[in-house]
Amino acid sequence: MTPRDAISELSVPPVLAVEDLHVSFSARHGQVHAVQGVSLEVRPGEVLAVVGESGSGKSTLARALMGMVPVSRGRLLFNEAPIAFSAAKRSLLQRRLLGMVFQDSSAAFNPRFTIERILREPIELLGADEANAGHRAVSPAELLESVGLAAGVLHRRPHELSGGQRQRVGIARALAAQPQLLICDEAVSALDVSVQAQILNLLIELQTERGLSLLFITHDLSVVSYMADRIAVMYRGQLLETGEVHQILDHPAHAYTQRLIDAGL
Amino acid sequence: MSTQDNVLRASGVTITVPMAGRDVAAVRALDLHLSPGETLAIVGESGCGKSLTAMALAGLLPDGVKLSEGQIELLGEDVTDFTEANWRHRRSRQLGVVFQDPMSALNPVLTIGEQIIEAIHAHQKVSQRHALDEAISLLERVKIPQPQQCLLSYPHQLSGGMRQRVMIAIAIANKPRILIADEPTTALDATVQADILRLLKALQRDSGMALVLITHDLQLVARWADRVAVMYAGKIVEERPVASLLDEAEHPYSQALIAARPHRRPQHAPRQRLAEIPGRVPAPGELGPGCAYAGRCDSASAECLKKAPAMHVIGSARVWCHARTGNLGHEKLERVA
Repeated sequence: MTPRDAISELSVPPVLAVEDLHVSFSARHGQVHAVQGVSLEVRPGEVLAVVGESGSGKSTLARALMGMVPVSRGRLLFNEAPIAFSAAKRSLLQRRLLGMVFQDSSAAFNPRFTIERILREPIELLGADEANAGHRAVSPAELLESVGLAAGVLHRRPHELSGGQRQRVGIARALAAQPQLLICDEAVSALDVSVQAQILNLLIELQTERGLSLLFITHDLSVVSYMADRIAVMYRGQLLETGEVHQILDHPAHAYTQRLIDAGL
Repeated sequence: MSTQDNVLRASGVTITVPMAGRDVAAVRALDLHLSPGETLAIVGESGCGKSLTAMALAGLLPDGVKLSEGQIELLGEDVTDFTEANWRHRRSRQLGVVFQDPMSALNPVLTIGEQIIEAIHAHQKVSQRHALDEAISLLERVKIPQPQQCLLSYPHQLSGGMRQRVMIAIAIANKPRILIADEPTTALDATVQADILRLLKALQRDSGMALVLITHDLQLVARWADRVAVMYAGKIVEERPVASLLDEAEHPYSQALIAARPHRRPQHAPRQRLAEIPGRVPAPGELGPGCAYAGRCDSASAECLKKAPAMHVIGSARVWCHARTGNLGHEKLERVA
């Protein structure tokens, strides 16, 4: 056993643990079981990529973690403490653990608001916490700086920014609560290669400098092969396999994973 | 290459778009040619003019957008000044088109079946029964799981990926000599994308169909195309066989695009920062007399800002770059020759 193997056996409590999670929706044709008994962990400071095609349940899983869709069964633990499924029932402290970046973050921005106002909203909601001494809310300018944007952007409106700048604002907004875990749902999929490189570099900086954990949801395997420490493969609501990035890419256990790799790389 | 060898040819094509009351060139002096059975990829980032180029090649430029200079030849015929009525006879049978947004190309009040059969009947005198069988077989070829059910559906009842596949089925219904496909598989899952591209390749093999593939995806280009034209700010900056694209690209912009792609990192190695391209693409109308990429280019010299680069042939590549003239090119010239 190498020292590396020995160290890797140390158990570090995960930031997030998902246990036997089930999500179903009622649809026209009856119940859709979108997430079927998924269990996984995100460790501190790691990038876990969740890959799968449309309908695999990967985005539903992300929404369940955020408390945005009703969970029918299972358990969610943040830093080993169980938390409520619904965002409304979570404490401020619990809600602050998680941030989310969407494919098109600007769709969530009010087009008439300045970037300052767009950033101030989550800061006021989640950033300040009188009860928890020592926790200082960040300012919109600080948030912009952390995503590589100048303070001048504060007074602009979303349509005055480029796609890459808007996605940076989306990340800044997700960072307002100073989360431990950032969920990125196809966060770079709609971007041009050169802009994608900037955003991936930014995410890696945040991960290394702040020890932020990333749950990276994507269908793009070249992005995964660069970003991920570990990969979880989803197919039709189920988790097929989880493993270290090289193990999954070189020795996938499932034929489906192999097909994904052949098609995507 | 003589004109006869090309199924499609564009010479010196400039396309203008109306901006703030004047016409601004968004595609400039574009030369392209396409041989039977060949796949030419046009690659570039948002706003580089690749979609306008696709629309011009298919005679589908939107109102106000003009082909102000140059000439387009389709199967040896000058189609530059074609009216929509002229085009209607050429499209579908000579030239099929797949665009990124299938919702705008499908008729919302007709079923998929009606639309495919209509497309078949437009150019083939066959019985309803035969056309129906053909429609089912087309949907099977684009991997639609329940073709019969799909035929009865209206466009809004299908997912984006399904609509995209229906568009492709309609585009290939009349076995066109040329297919122009603008980001045809961007909305599709990777495994379906591979299935569709395999299907297009098979069509090319069987019928000699030539394909113009417009995409931003270098991975896709490297895997499926024969030749690639890299566009930047409305101009082709490099054109070369795909086989040598990733390793031997000559233009600094092509190289920067390739370097910016996420790559697999070695086991246990830290992630290397991806190469970024500083600055942004100049908008049409902001361009100076020199090379449009000069402001972002590591190799730029004073000359680059003053004068637009001429085309240089380097081996089997055509490159528009001042920095790639002179001694830099000679070595490659000898190696390929």
